Amino acid sequence: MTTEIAGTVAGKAAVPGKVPPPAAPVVGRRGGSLAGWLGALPFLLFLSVFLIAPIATNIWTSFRVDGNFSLDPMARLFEPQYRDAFIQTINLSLLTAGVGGVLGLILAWALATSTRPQWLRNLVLSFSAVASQMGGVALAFAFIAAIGVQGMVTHVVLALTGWDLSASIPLASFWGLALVYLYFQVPLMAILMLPAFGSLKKQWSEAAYSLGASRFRYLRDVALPIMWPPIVGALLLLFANSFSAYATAYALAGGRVNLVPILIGFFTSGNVMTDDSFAAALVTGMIIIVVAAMGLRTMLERRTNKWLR
Amino acid sequence: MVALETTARPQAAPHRLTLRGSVQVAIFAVALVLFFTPLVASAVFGFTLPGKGLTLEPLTDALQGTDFAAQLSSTLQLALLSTLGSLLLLVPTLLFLHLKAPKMLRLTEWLSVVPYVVPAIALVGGANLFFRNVAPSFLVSTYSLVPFYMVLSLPLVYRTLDAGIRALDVRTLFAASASLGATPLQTLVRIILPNMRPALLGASLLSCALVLGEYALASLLLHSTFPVFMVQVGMNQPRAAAALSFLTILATWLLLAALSGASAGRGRVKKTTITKGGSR
Amino acid sequence: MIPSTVSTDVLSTPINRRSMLRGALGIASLAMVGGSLASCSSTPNAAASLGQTAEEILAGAKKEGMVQLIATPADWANYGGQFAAFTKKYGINAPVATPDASSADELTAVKNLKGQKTQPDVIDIGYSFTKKASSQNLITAYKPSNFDVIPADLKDPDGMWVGAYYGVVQVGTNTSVVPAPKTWDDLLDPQYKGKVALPGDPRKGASSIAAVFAAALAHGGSLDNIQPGIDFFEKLAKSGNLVSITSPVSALSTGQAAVVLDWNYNFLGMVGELKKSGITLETKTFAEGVFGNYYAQPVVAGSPHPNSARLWVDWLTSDEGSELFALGGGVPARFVELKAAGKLSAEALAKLPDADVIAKIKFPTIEQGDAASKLIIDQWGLKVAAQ
Repeated sequence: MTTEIAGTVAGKAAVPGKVPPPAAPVVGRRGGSLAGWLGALPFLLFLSVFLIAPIATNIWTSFRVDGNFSLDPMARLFEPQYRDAFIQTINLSLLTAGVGGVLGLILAWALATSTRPQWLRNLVLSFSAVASQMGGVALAFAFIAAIGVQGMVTHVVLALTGWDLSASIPLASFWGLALVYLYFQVPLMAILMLPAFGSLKKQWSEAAYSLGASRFRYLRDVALPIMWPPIVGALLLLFANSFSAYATAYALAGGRVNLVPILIGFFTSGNVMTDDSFAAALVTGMIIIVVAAMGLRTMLERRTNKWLR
Repeated sequence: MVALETTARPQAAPHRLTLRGSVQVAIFAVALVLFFTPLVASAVFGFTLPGKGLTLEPLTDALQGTDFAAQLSSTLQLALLSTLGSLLLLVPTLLFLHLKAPKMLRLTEWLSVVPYVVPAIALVGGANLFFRNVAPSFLVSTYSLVPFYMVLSLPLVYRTLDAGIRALDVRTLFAASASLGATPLQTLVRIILPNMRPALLGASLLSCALVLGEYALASLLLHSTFPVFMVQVGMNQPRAAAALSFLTILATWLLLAALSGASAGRGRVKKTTITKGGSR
Repeated sequence: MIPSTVSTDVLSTPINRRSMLRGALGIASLAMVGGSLASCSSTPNAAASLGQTAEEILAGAKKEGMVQLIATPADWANYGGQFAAFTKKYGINAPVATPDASSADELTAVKNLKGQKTQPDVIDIGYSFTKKASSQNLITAYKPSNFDVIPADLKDPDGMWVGAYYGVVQVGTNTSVVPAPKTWDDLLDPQYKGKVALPGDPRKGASSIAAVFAAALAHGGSLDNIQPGIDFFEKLAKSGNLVSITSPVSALSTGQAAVVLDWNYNFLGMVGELKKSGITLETKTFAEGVFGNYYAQPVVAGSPHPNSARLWVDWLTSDEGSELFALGGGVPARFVELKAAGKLSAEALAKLPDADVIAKIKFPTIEQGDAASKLIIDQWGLKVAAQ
């Protein structure tokens, strides 16, 4: 029943249990889709040259060895050490996306609904923007300086409790890396989810409460269905972000953790052996996995857009 | 329906410190501690020497005789150009599509996420091979990084701008102001853009933060930007590198804090006006 | 509520202006791209006249005024000393682009910058890249004046490259944390838990794969068989003693590692920075498992400053250049000859490893190196990295 009310409030036909049809584009019917393509043209052109072309070149290269078509590089992907690398990378990404997602959501909620003190909220918000882009050597150093073998926090904890933090959480390991990744995954989630909180129109919650719904019912029947697609969308973005992170992983763990981006680095830029085709194949493998995840996200996001038109 | 605006919300009046308020403050406090601890540790490592205490020595030693000012200026220019480029490309595109062809938005949004799919290292490989055959001298200039940085920042910038536009219901605004006699350009400049200020600022800040920290692409394309310089220093002089990265983060964050504080006040006022006007 | 229907007429009139604005911005962005493409085009290298004799080369080099180098950090085998002395003697600058680039990056740079003024003139690459560089026609033959006295295993018979210096794998220990190990197997001792490191990953770094070779030689392997080395490091990783780092000097300074394997000359280069953290290193070569390798300095084909490039390679293999390498711990290619002639100073000899260690060094061939790399790439990920 609450769903119906929410539907009416949003100005659309309230059909119980069904998602209302999207509002038809009422503007400029004549040449509508042509206008759309023209309008998007600079954007599309830009992406074609600087994103699509390099990706296409990469995929092309992953099927060529010494100028001839070959399935070899792609076939090599299934060897045990590379399968393991993909599995490790996926695990790391799932972990940091999941944990980062939950923590980031909490932070986003606080940022979205906090009113006072304003300065504290702005401080956290601006720092989240900075932290979400942090990575690489700077972040690795910062963590080593904090909880490394001779880190500041390690010393303090050791002095206070006798527990050697750095032995329990070695930074150059899967778990150490996960911890460091959270430093940018959590703020990233918060930033991605902020607009979604903003889209929860006040009128909906007011309407629900005015009709006697409890907070729980409001959350379950109105807020969650609206928020769920953007949440999953953001989670998948976090997954992709973690999956392709290279600088941080290499700076912190070197080759100790078997990850795909690091392997790509070995084959494109090293002092031992380079293999353009295989590096390209690794990239193509990554692209396939992340595209699958992205496809999932697109399907889910379609649902929420219908509510927001 | 008429009574909507005046219905009391089951929440405390703004002036009392509520349970919700204290929880929020606690969350913020924890977040800040966790954000700052690694940075403070970095600063301690970078600005002290064992046996000497607090000193600028590691930093000055490393900066001596290097061209870091040129690299810093190079990075700042790249940040400015990338941000401007992104905004110039995306704001008109998004506005146009929202107004004229919302169906295209699905495609453009999907495209905007593609950069996340591809790691910088892959972009470099492909870019090298592609441009070497098409326009060999393009990759030589450091400014060639600008379009790539625009691509890398695309996911976040697009989302921020898109969310900013969605929050506005641009069609109504254009229609309303047109019915009052304003041209679309006037509407754009006087109404849309000012109301998008938080989104514009947010997008700019994210783009700048990305460029100021971007290492992989710049180093693989063999350009010397400030992050590349920092890593070079870090290879051989870890203390100086820690000090430098602390300073960079601090500077970025102070800039962001100042700008976001400036926008928050204005943004709220404008928003209230719009909502009130709309519900009449 | 906000009305959801909008009159179409009102918005249809301004479409022309809107699409004009659109179009203008579109053209502007394309122009920006085109402009940067155009502005980056530079004149192809004016074919500099290449000197045929040493005097002509010197004259040509002085006219060119600079030699563009790449990937040679100042604290690597005292390259810093080389730059200073070279510039002082000839008045020719020797700037270095991207000092921390890898050999692969160098070849990429040569390819990308072909025809540009900033193309490197001389590169410094790992031995395993020499075949690739010459098969891709990136380098050109040049026999420096001392070519004939350079040992055969440090030069290409056709003169495509020479290796001006080489080093040997050593172990450096921060003795304030742990005592220095005496043998390879000491490293397996529990007191070294979480403290032992290679300089990087052997799938990427030549110095790391060299350390694995050294371990192989110490455990019954040979230049044809690096397997015992991989097995040793697998044991080390399983015992929890092996940590992974990307920069030895950083790891030692921050305490992330206390025992590091690296080229002997790199330890000399670290001394200054380590002193800042109050760390003194004890370095030694293990008695069993002596492995050394060289880097090659070929001249880039068609580079902007061909005369300076040749002058630089001459310099590196000259008496002065050899002395400077030795001061940094890099064993000069002409070590045996120069030592016998007494041309290396006592200070330089003190910085080098012992003569009997140097005598034991035998370089792997490129085929042996490739076979070893293949084995490492196949096994390292699962056996060592995934522990």
